[in-house]
Amino acid sequence: MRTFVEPVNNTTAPHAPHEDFLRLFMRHEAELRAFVRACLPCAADVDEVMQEVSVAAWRKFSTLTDPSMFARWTCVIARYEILMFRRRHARNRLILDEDIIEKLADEGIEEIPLRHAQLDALDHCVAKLPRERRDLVLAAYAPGTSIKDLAAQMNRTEGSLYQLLSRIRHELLRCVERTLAQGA
Amino acid sequence: MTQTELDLIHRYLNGTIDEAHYVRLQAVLRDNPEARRLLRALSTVDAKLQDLAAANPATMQAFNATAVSLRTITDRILWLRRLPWLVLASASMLMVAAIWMMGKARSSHDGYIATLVFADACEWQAPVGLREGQRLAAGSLRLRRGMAVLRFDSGATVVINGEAEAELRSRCSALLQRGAAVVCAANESAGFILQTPASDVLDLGTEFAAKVEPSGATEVHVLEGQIAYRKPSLHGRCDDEPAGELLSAGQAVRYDHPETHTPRNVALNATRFEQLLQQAKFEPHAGSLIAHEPFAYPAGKLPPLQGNGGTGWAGPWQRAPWCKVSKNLAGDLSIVVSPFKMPVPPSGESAHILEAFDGFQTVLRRFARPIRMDRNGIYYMSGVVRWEAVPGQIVAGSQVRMMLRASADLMGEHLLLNLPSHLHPQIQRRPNEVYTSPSTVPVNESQLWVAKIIAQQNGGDEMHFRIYGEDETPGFIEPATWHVSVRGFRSDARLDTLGLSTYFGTGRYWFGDVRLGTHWRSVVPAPRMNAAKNVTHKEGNT
Repeated sequence: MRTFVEPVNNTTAPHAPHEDFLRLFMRHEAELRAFVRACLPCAADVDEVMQEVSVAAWRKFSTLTDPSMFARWTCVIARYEILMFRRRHARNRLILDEDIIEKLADEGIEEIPLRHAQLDALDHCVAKLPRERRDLVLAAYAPGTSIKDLAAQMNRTEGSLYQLLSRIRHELLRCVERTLAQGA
Repeated sequence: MTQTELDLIHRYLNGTIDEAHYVRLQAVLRDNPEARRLLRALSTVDAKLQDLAAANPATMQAFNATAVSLRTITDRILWLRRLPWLVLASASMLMVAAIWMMGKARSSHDGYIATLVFADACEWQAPVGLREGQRLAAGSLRLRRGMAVLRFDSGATVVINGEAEAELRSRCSALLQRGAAVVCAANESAGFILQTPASDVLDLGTEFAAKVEPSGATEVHVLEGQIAYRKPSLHGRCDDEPAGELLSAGQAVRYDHPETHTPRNVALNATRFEQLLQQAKFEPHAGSLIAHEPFAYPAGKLPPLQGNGGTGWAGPWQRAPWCKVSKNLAGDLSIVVSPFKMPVPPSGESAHILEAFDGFQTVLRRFARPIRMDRNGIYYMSGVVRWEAVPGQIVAGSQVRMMLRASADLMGEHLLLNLPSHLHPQIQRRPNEVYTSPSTVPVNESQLWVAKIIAQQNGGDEMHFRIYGEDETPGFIEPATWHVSVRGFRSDARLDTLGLSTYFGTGRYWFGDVRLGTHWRSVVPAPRMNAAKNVTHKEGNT
């Protein structure tokens, strides 16, 4: 049986396939989630597609010959699962047209190394946010948070809170771009 | 990129975009590669923030009104349930994966994570006034005495027996602080995590018992299958946490103190799930039957006004005002002795049923104690329905229905159970608001229809509908799986009228033994409950 070991986790013992898969999936999950997120507007939909992707990727894992291609390989699977999801739900939800999803996905697959770098840079950029803003944005993105409730707690309107979150998100992106430009 | 175009992308990511803006966004994304690049980059920021927020409970606690944090779980734990390979994986990898997923999980849409499906002589300290059938959100649970069965939304079932203190944390995890619990998480509900002060226990598709003494000493007994256990650790990323240890059926361990690092083996000494339930009382609660119509009338024609039997009714049957009376029946109902195998036992020597063909249309009957959708309450409705037709030749549009309406506005808001010609069970709230099951059910069998209604004063009402076929046995507690469920609607209707209806009737229809109640056991007759004890907790999950 073929086994492979991630370079950073180099050990002498070969891993069982499920361990290899789990390690690779956990390592690249954030890139994959970002990839899916661009194509689907609702976090619950992203979760559903991520489940389908994880199951499909595991089933096909034995066909992956080069583990260094895992991220790209799972993105190709995700592209298919997103399109399948769209066909199931397009009638009752706002989901991007198929040709746009294909463009977003095809271009996104080519950006995998960039996505990885962006995610790394974001650790630094989020840490640099003023404490108040960081706490706010993490509270807003926390599981189960209602933006309406959070806005009420802050004596703001829901719309103004969304605007503030959009500004923070954009600030973070500018920080990422600066960080990557400096490192280039 | 213009600011307007950028705003469209942010609205999309915020989930606040409307249809008109969506059309504009699509046009921008289709033609502008820079817009697509920006969407992908901002989606990366978005995904990262979700990731950090889920792993950062301390930050969330700063906003405690909204911080559900790690106590809630997410749909992402479903990955675990849906990955059969994980059950085969090593305990350590499984433990890491499960807790990793749980730590990053998201909450369910309505905040509820479990249902109290059975309560026998329970005295609750918190929350006060818990009722059987009630949905439960994350939070503390303190039982002074009695036996309670909780079904978590992940499918795991937990029996708490006697004085106990627990915290419901997510749809697939709970903390047992004190007392005894038995967890049954068979097959796809595997992955349930029971935390205790001394250990985290991950169910690998099995049944186990845990006991936590007031001192914090903890015992774990594996009754069937296998579990993985390890010292508690639920904060932050778990990739580097030590592996869990496996414990198999027949084995038990004890931590003499919560700080004890390694437990010692002890003899298995725990009561199994089924044995525990056999100790419980299953009789319906007194007063829990709101109305019952056994159709115990003499066989033959029955003028509607003489259809005033049963209990809990405010008047006799009557034809719906919108019905045209058939010449054949001159408005009479027709009662026959059932020639069919009935899914519920008859009240007398033989089951009498209501024939509903030859222009039957709709009959209504008011019940005395209305269902108040504007107040908190839990209700169940059941009825026997049989539709005889030639499969494949059912005329489109024909259907059979049970419904709840308001006598003050019979054509207004209603809750309606429907089996239409395509045989996918449906719930209907308004003419244009229909929820359809993905499953079909057969005709030519005597079915038991059961519905559950959760009325909430402040909205968040629910309705669930399940049809039991002749080869299915309803459990003594409500099912984990319904044919169709509707959650999160708001109704303030005062429903006081039951309706039985066939529509564009083709084929032949019968109705029998209709019940309305406040408990599952008040509408699902007792003799079948006993027969079902053995299968109830092994049902599939929603």
